[in-house]
Amino acid sequence: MSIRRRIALFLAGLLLAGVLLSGCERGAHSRDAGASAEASSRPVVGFSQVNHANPWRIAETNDIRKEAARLGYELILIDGDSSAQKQVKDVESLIARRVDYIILAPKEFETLRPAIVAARDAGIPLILVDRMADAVPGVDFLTFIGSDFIDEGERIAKWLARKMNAKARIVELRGEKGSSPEIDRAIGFRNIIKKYPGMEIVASSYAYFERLEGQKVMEEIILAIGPTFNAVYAHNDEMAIGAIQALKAAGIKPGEDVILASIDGGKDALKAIIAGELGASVECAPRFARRIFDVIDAHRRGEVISARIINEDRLFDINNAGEFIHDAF
Amino acid sequence: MMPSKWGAFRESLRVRMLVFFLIITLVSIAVLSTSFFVLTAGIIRENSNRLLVDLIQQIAAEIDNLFTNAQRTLEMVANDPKIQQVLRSPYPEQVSLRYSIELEVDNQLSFVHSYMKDIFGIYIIGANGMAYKSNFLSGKDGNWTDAPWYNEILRAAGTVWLGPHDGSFTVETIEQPIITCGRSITDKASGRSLGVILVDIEVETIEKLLRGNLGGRGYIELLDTRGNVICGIQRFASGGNLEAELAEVTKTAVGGAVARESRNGPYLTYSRQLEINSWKTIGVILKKELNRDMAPITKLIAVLFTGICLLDLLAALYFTAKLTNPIKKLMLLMKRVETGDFQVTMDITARNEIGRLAESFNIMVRRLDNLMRQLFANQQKLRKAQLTALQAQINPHFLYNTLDSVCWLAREEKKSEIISTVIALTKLLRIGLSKGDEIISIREEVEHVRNYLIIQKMRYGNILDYSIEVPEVLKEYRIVKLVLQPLVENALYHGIKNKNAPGVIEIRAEQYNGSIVFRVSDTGIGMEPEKIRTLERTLGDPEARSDSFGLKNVSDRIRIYFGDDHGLSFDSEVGKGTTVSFSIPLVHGE
Repeated sequence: MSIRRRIALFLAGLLLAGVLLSGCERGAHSRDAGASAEASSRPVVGFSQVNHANPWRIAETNDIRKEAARLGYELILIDGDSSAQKQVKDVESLIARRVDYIILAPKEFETLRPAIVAARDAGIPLILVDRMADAVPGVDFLTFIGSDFIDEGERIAKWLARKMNAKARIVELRGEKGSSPEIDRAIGFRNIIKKYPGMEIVASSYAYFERLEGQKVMEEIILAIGPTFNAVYAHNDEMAIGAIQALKAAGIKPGEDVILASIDGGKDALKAIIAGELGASVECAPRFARRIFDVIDAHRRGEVISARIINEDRLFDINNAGEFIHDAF
Repeated sequence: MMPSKWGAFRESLRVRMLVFFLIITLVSIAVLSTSFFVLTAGIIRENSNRLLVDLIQQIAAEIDNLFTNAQRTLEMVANDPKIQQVLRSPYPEQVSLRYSIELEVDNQLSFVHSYMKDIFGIYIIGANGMAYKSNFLSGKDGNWTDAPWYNEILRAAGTVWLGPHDGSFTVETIEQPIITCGRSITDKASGRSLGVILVDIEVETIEKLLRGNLGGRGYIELLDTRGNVICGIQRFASGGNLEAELAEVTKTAVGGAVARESRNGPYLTYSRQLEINSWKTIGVILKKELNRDMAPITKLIAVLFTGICLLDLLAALYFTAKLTNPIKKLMLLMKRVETGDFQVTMDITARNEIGRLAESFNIMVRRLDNLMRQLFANQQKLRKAQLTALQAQINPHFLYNTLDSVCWLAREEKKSEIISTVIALTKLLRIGLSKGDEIISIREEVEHVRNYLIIQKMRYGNILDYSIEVPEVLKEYRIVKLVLQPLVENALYHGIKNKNAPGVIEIRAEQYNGSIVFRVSDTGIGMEPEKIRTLERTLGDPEARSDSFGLKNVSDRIRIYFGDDHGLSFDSEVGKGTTVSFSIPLVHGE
């Protein structure tokens, strides 16, 4: 065998080993990767999810998976482990793998901007879901699909005003500081209650969208201001359910002494509504994968995509909770 | 001619020294490097052996710890009085109460859970139809009391470990692999079963414990009691059917690390059983991956070896050049000396053997030069002396006298005497010329002097008598020509003629101590000792001019040819006569 042929064979071997090794690595990191993106002719969609620590995210991810499988898309799912920095890297890795589309559920508003810009510069259409980020829809990325958080805040405020006859001393449990739902749900709520002089926010604290955190913050507020409030507005269900446990522990009856209202409309929230402890929850639908893939299909057909697509959200209270509990996420 | 050139090259001092040095140093370096390599390889093998055992033990301990925590959680929650009471109470018919209790108990479980970071979830499935969860994931709908895992746990005496399954049994997940341990909850009051409690652990949590610890040289797996892989970090592209082989190995490899052969080559393996549930952690290091650890060392050794070899070669080249260059130079100078150039000088000032050699060489060449100059001068002198001898022999005076004698003989019509005289003259001249040869046989020399005496006898017959006694055996030896005739001439003119009385000239030769001694004696007037001393001094000084021109010429020529100790010596007594003698070495003809 000539030296040249030997070298060629050796290089080919190296290449093969490299491909196999990189394949292995990919398999280890992302369970959804399946066959490698390069090997498939199916369109590849990358999805950078914040985490899978709450039912809302799990429902969203499972819905996207189901829809991708139904429509024949290959989905690469990457869990951001609740880190915005990791999400930036995740998006960069999706760009490096030359996926056809990127779905990004940004954890934070500002931190994810470089990832969006990188996708834009790489020419990969990116769809922002759930939360907004610091970029221009239709310019920096394809479109935003999600709920209108301001509208959610406004609707729950209207419900509370009606329920409380426009008179309420309100404790606000805010979501993850600096995230777009936290900002917008606070704004929307205030847009309405400022019209009612009898409605007043007496305490406002961050509980990061988490149940135990909501319980802890509520306990602190009860100790700090005593039973001087008669309403709680939580930016999501989890914090509201946590707050309910804190109120019960303090001998305050949720649903009677204190009216609670929250946003998301999850299964546990509906249970709490049925239990009479949570007043109402405005839905923030996690299952909108169909809309996402409609947008992708339209984009592939070359149609014009609207820069913002807003989900229609329902309001659950004692009147309809029992009806929807089995559909709830 | 190539072969001889190659041979010369091989024989060359420098090449020999080079080869010798290189072989010695290269062999030592090779031996050193090899021993270093072998030692290091041994240490690395030993270390990886120990590393593997330590690592597997440590990982087994960590997994044991994780599982023990899960099991303790099961026991703790199952025996909690509040939980017992909740499970003991009947299924609340009122849905609002049901959900209220459910959310409350969920919250309690989640507090317990919040202290157990590595656990994915704690779930209680009550016999009374209630279900609780520690994480806030949405509960799955369904009647779990029919599920096989529920009944397996319910019937078991202690903790049951269930291998990886996709997603939790009880809550909505993204279907990641999860392992579950569970046990039944017994009513502390009545002893009847209140339901089961489960703890989920994500396989990824265990993978994090296994990952990366072997630095890519091998991998670690967790196997259940039946040898199924629960999780492992498969890091080899050549994975192949290694898992099947491992299942085989696990049956035997417990204890120290074991070396095995496989389709993937030799490997080291070590396994350790978990204390809690008899699952096994097993570690594998492929030996060919270990060789990767050796690569930097091998490279280092190769670089060092090459470096030292190069350095060695350069040093050897330099030193041998330094050593042999002067010798080569000496050789070249010697060649020039061979061709006759004595003006060479070796300018080496080194204070070593070479320096001394150069010094000696210079002295030798200078001496040679002097010698050659001297030789040249002698040659010139000799030619001059020869010419003079020839001139002396045929001086016009002698010829005039001889021809005058012949003239008188013709007047007296002495025909036979004329003939003999002319013949003698002819012979005298012929031998004297003797084809230009400077060395002739003693026979010829004696013939020459005899003819001379024949002619002189013709003229001085009244006062001159002579005898020649040269043994026949000596006559073939060689002698410088025309040495006897001047001595005889001297004896005749200065010895006998001055005495005014008849005299005898004797020429004798005899062998003595390896030389031939010639004596020319006369019975002439003799010399005073004073005169003899003056004469001897004159003859000894090469530059001196002398009245006794013939004697000096003879003396010089004998000395030039046979050395300084072959001079003329005189023995004389006033009024009685003189004997001139000299000796020559025995020299054979051609």
